[in-house]
Amino acid sequence: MSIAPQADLTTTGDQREIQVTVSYLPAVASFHHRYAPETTVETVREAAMKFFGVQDRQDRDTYRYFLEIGGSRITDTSQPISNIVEHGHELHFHLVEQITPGSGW
Amino acid sequence: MNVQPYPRIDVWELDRSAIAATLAAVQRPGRDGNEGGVFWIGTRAAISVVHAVVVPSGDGVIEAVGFWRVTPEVFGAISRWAAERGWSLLGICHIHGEGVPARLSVQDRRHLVRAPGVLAVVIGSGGRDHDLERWGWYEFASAAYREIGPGERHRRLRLTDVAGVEVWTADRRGCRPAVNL
Repeated sequence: MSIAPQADLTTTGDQREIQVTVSYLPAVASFHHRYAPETTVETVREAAMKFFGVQDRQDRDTYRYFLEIGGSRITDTSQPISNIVEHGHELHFHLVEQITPGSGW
Repeated sequence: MNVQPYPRIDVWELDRSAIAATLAAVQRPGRDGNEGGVFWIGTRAAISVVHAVVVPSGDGVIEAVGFWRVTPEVFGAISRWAAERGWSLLGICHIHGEGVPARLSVQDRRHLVRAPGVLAVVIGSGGRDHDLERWGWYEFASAAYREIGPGERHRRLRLTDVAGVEVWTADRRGCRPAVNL
């Protein structure tokens, strides 16, 4: 009996993974993690926010953190990170905060 | 591997040239009666050293009476520039207008960066007050800015005359060496 070669799904998965780095200006260390290409931007955003100890909040104003890359803020956080990769398997985001003034302004 | 993002800071080392560059940078908005400010950037460690004064200015920066705002695009540009050098944000220094106390306002406390160890410094009299003793000094700790009293400040703020400092301007397009502030 012969056994047909099997695809190494684990290896294939590793090769598809994207190495994500998120930097935040006040922090000395960046957040690093490998994600599957279909991972949403929101998943990365939440993990990075947790790492840096910040969270979206609201008082009179609204404070929301975004991932930005190359000067562009990623506002559609439901999209997979594979949409953002241009070359290779790496992404380097920067975490930034958007303050939206409330009606008292 | 992820490591602690905010190592404890015992001492901030600040060259007097950084003070001079800060005061020079805030003169322009101060003269117009607006608020303005700078970022102090450098190496963060137990002894943290300010290597650069970054002056947000122009596209993506709002300087107005009663408030100063740096948009996320400018913050991102400074973040990219600092990351290339292995530097972090150590402090944010901004001015209050004539007659407004050199103390963090309620709005300042809500809007400034909320990360442990970050300094918030307020210069009064539209940036014309050169006496550091009259500036407001605060550190973000335990989820809020707390004032640093004179004793603690003298202990933890080390003024030097040797290191020098780089001065850069920043807008939404990026950071550039400052030419004329």
